[in-house]
Amino acid sequence: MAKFTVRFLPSDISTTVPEGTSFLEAAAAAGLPLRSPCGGQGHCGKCVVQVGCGADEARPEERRLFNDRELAEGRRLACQAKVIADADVIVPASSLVVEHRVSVEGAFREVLVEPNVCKIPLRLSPPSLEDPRTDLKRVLDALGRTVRPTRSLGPLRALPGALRCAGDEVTAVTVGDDLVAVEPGDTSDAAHGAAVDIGTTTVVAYLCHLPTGRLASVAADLNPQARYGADVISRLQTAVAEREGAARLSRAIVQLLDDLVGRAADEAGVSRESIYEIAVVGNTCMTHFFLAVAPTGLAEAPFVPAFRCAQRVRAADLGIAVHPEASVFVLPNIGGYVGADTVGMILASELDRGDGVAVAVDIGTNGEIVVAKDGEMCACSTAAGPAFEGARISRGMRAAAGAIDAVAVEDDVDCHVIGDVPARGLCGSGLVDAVAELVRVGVIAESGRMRRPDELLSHPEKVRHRLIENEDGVQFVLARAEETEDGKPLSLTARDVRETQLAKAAIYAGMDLLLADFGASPGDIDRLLLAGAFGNYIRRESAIGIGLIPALDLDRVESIGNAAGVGARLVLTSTSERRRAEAIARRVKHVALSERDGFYDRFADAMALRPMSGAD
Amino acid sequence: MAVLDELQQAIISGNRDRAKELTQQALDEELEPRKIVVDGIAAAMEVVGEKFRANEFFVPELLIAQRAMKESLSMMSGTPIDHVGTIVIGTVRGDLHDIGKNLVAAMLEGAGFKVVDLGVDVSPDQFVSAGSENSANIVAMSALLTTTMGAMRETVQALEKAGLREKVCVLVGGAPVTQSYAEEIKADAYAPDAATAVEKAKQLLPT
Repeated sequence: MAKFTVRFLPSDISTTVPEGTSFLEAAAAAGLPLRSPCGGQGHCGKCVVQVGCGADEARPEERRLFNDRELAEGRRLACQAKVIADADVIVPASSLVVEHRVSVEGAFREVLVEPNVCKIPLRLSPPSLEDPRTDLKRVLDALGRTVRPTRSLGPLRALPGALRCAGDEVTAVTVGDDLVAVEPGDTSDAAHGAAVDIGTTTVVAYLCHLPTGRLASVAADLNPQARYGADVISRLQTAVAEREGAARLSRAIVQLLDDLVGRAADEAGVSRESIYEIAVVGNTCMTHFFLAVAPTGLAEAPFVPAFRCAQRVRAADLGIAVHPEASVFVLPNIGGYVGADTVGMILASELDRGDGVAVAVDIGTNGEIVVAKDGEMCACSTAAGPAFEGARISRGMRAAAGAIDAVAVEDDVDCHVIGDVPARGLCGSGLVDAVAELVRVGVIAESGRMRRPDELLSHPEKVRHRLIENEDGVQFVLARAEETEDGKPLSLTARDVRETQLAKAAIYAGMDLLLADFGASPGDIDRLLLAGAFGNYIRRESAIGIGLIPALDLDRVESIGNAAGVGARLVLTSTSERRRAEAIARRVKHVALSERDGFYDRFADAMALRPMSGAD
Repeated sequence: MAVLDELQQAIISGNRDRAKELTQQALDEELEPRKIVVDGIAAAMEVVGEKFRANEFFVPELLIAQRAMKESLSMMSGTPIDHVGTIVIGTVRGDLHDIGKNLVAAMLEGAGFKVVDLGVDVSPDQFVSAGSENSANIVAMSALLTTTMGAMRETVQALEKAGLREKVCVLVGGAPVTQSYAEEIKADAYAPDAATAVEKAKQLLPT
């Protein structure tokens, strides 16, 4: 098979790939990840590159996207174009994956610190004729409770040396009821656990000091599986259709987790070996990928996971380098796509207890919703995510430097850009603001239709002039050419508004349906919790304005940050919280929206861009 | 016909209750049922289709117009209509997404087709039996998951095996489906949206 050299500009990085490789894969091989929210299907148009020669013929999907002039210039979709000769490729900045803003804070509640990992300093009397107990029995007796020696030989082999090393002082390490190590001296303070939230888009590791429960450090990064698609379905496709797909997805996430744990340890100034347990949360697909269990059943109806219950496995077996005997605890899944992260969210927000009606929404990539009434719970996942993550919006992007994340409209339009740099795109919170403001001032009708300039004669001139119509249709310019990174106006198109409608209607309808199951309506909500990175940055007024969430008094709506991560930390820090998490998973009723008659009607009813309260 | 014009408007604007009222009114006025369907309902869906193509209407408007149309049409059952053709439609096996498929079915119905909607999670064999039992002109398939698209290829093959492939045309659509894919699996046509589906369906009819 012939091999060719592909050179990427302007960074001047080259790589050699076999003939027929896509430019997207070549870029990844060169260490230049390109955006591919649709997972390389040719749908999203985000991986644009310019190729001189060396690429095959343009595909119909590309001919639809680029006009003749652009095609003549060599504009191609990196995921569709294949290498057929040595090639020079120009990569526009807008096609590159960029560093990302993550929500790592979480409102942590107070719990009694009783971790699963215990390090107990022991003073042992040495063996004598009167007391010829074995080394192991001496330690087990001193612990005074039923503890099993771990099945692995490691601890046993280290035992004799440890006992005779630092005089009569040793520290026994137990994880649950297993004795996993005996260390010379008093090392009881060097006990850590890592709580990891494997999000579809972002992975966050929280390093906790276990004796105190204190947060020691945090490390976060983008989920490298994003190469295979921004959403879970695209990745499932890779796992199911490609021979090494599931293994690759698993390796990607395990390697990142190992890396993050190392980074967090470095930052806290502690050793990897002082980490004895890792608690993991993620949606059902992520937990499957992490454990390298093929999520085949989740790829098509009736969408059944391979497993639901909590999993406990040795970190070393997964290839994660912490203490050799450390274990990994993966919280249980609820059902379908609603997984361990939702359990974490419920645990953190205590939806399993309390009176009244409480709703938690994670407007992340999968849009999970939990509705609780007096502690009884049901949950669903909506497919609403992608629009709010930028995947189906014309200038959509994730929340990173250059993203417009807030918009206000009065006499003119005022946009805030993350990092205060020239604008390069619109992220979720910016999108919701833009639509909400434009609806509020009448540029966009409730039906979602963008009004024509001649219908806005009584509007401020500066606002009116931003509404333009060209061969691409009607659009509203948010950032003018001189304010953007690429020198082109950054607009919200009529189609973007529709995508927003569809996404928000799905979330609202899901919430409405779950509430109806309890005989409640949106107006009955006592507490509405917005979780996930998106929940932290979205303006509640805007979310209410477009009917993404019900019109409630603002003091009933709260952002709870990365609640799934908080849940993982709780599980690490407290064994009663761990039991509570397992009980929660068993109790929550999973609702498959696609099978419910009422969803379609509610979905259609929720299309309008206006405050909704269920009193309609 | 004032009442039929108003009925059109009610359907186009997605006003379900008004569409019901006006359909009843038209029936009470003893208008010919066929005329109500053609000049009231079908005409409304044609306008909806045009507005969609003109990027004035998008999926949200189609959804609510479709609901109003269904309301009206359900009151007209029993009316003998000369259908322009018969279509069997469904979402493929393993896939439960039906909003897009419902829209296409509604637009086709509005355009005068007899539509046999098999629902969701439809196996290749079910498509074949329904196609044969209803003497369908077209078998239309929708898939929204890349993981379920393969069932379309299997259905085409099942039609061939049953000796039915020559008698029906295959029309495919759904978010992950593309023209290239349609050609790859030897379907007859691909439509990216409901309005185009109606156009293609009409083109596929035997002349």
